[in-house]
Amino acid sequence: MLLQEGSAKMAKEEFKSLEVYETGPTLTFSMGPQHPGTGHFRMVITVVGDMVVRCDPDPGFVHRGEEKMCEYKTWITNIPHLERPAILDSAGMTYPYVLAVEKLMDIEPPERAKYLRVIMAELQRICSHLYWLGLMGVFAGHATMYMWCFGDREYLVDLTQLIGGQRITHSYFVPGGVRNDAPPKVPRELVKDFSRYYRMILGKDYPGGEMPEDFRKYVLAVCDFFDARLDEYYPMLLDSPIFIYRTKGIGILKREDAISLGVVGPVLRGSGVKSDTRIDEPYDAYPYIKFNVPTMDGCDSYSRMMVGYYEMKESVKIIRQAVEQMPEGPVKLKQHPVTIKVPAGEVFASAEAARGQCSFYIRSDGTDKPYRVKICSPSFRNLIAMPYLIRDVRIADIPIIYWSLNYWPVECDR
Amino acid sequence: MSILRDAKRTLMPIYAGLKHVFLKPYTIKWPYENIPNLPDEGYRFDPKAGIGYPGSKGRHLLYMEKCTGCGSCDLTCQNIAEAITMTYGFDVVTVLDEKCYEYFKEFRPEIVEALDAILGSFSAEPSCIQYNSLSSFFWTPTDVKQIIKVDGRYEIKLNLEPIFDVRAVEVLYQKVYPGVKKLKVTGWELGKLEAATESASVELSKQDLTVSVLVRKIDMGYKQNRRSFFPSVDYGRCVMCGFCVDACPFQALEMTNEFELSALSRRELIYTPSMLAKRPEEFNITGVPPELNVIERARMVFRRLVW
Repeated sequence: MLLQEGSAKMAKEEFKSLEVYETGPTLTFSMGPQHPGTGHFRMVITVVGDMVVRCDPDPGFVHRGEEKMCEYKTWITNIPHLERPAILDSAGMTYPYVLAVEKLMDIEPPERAKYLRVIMAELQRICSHLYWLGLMGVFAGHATMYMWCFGDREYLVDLTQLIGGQRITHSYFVPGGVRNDAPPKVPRELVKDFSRYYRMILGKDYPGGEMPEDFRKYVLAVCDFFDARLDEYYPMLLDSPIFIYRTKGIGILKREDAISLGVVGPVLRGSGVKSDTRIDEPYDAYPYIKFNVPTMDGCDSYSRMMVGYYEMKESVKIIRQAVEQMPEGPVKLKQHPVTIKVPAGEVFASAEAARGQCSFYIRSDGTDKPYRVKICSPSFRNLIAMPYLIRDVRIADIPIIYWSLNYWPVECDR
Repeated sequence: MSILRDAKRTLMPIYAGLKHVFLKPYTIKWPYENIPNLPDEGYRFDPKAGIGYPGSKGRHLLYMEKCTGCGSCDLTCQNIAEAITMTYGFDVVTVLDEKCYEYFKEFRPEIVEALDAILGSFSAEPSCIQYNSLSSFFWTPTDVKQIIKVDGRYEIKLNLEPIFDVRAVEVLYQKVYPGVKKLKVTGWELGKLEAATESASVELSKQDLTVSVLVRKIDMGYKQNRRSFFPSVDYGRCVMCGFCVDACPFQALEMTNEFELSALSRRELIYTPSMLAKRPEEFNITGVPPELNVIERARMVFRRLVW
């Protein structure tokens, strides 16, 4: 039987102080395999009463062999399957790959492509965070938040569809730029449909002026709309006592522990560490854009959610600046669209995906295929915090802690 | 004070949510309502400038008059989804000799049952579904098209659309054999089988009658593509990344904004070149959606009028 003597004793003592009935020996059982939000996952849990003594996460149900697959496909045709581990954040997953290949080829994309990449990456970050926040509503028993997040997400997904052609998996980034420019015009029906919601939420008319179908104006209007909606989210979920009592003080990851465990992204920033790849090692157009990195000192599930919430606000700020600063010009280097030559060598590159720092190590032997691709995905880095956090908590708190880590099994298993 | 704060916190969500009761819902009642967010343009690629045009990545559109059958799209897709297969167009001809033709004119039962079985085999259900086999449901011969006399033998052409497949043998096995096998009961015997990539034939004989079924490649009359070698797409596998469009050096392949590709069987998801050549507006296999009931329709009218 899986049992840790010390913690079991502690839990039992706590039970006595609470005047709960004596349960006797510990019980080990398997929670799952099931599909908690984002992918198949199982954890083996040891309990005393309803107090969790030990938790063993068991990933690997959705292992796809992405790293091995990369060795059999060419440099460009690797992109569609590499965005599959995190389909809601496909830009964040392919960004480091594209950066690494560019570093290896010693090329730099045109200026306009850099801004388009930033816009796409931030839109995907917001979409991913909305999914996080919406499903947190479901996990905490708040169905309205789920509906709101998915309703607002539609307009952001529409925007990515206008740029990338698809709703989620765009295959938009390629080494040497992006595959196509931003559209010159937005469909008239979409503007008509959107302007109605804009008026509903902001109480004023859509600021189209003479050119309501202009892409730049439409993006800025969507940013305004979404910023106003985020202000409504705060009283709805994040300031409501139901949510606060469920999440505050649950799953405490101290600052020192977070650093020593090596977690990344909102989990690390929720523990008060100001670490972000966009600031620490800026890439593409991020050095030209002013934004903050939100951190919270609560170290619990609530601060992790709040970091996600404030990050969405920062992303809106970034998109607004990027659209205004975006220069005219080409968006892609002139090269063969499918077959590119990559010299031999090895390279490491990382980018800030929605769930944290995503890194790629690539080794090339000068052929048309990579020799080795190693993916270090953010969910894999955050998984290690799970057995540490799900200990000496009640069974009812497991979903909250699990989902406050924004853990994606598919991204972790690769 | 904390009680007051908690009371405010409890009431604020109700206030924030109450506003939305009187606003129009986000939901679009597809397929009864149009989806407004779909760009009209499909994704295209300009090989000279080396850059794509923004647009929806939906079903492909093939320009048969531009396609040269180079197979670049197939080669690219081999590395991504293995959805595209290059295919030839085939035709099925029944060849009768002098005696059989006399019998055919008199409508003798021996020869009628043979022709019936060959015709019927095209509409028969496939015995099993094979991966990457391209025999699709779409060909149902309605009639005999024409009878030509060649070298003292009579060729009966069926009223068929061109059958697209990788090899002629596949057409023979998958389309002709299911019906021909039934003829064994009435005394017909399967004779010599010739199998090759571009043509295949099988002989049927009963006493002194001989009928042969011939599968042969057709020339579709495109000057730049004498082999009539075109891509077919299996939408059960396609991931709509659009790299095949990038790879085409002749702008023969585009994408459209059609996304309603669902089908009732896996076989219907295989789109042949002649299906890909049709524009979305002239080609609709999904059919009309089921009728709405009175209450739903009234609610839709109400929504449209009020908001």
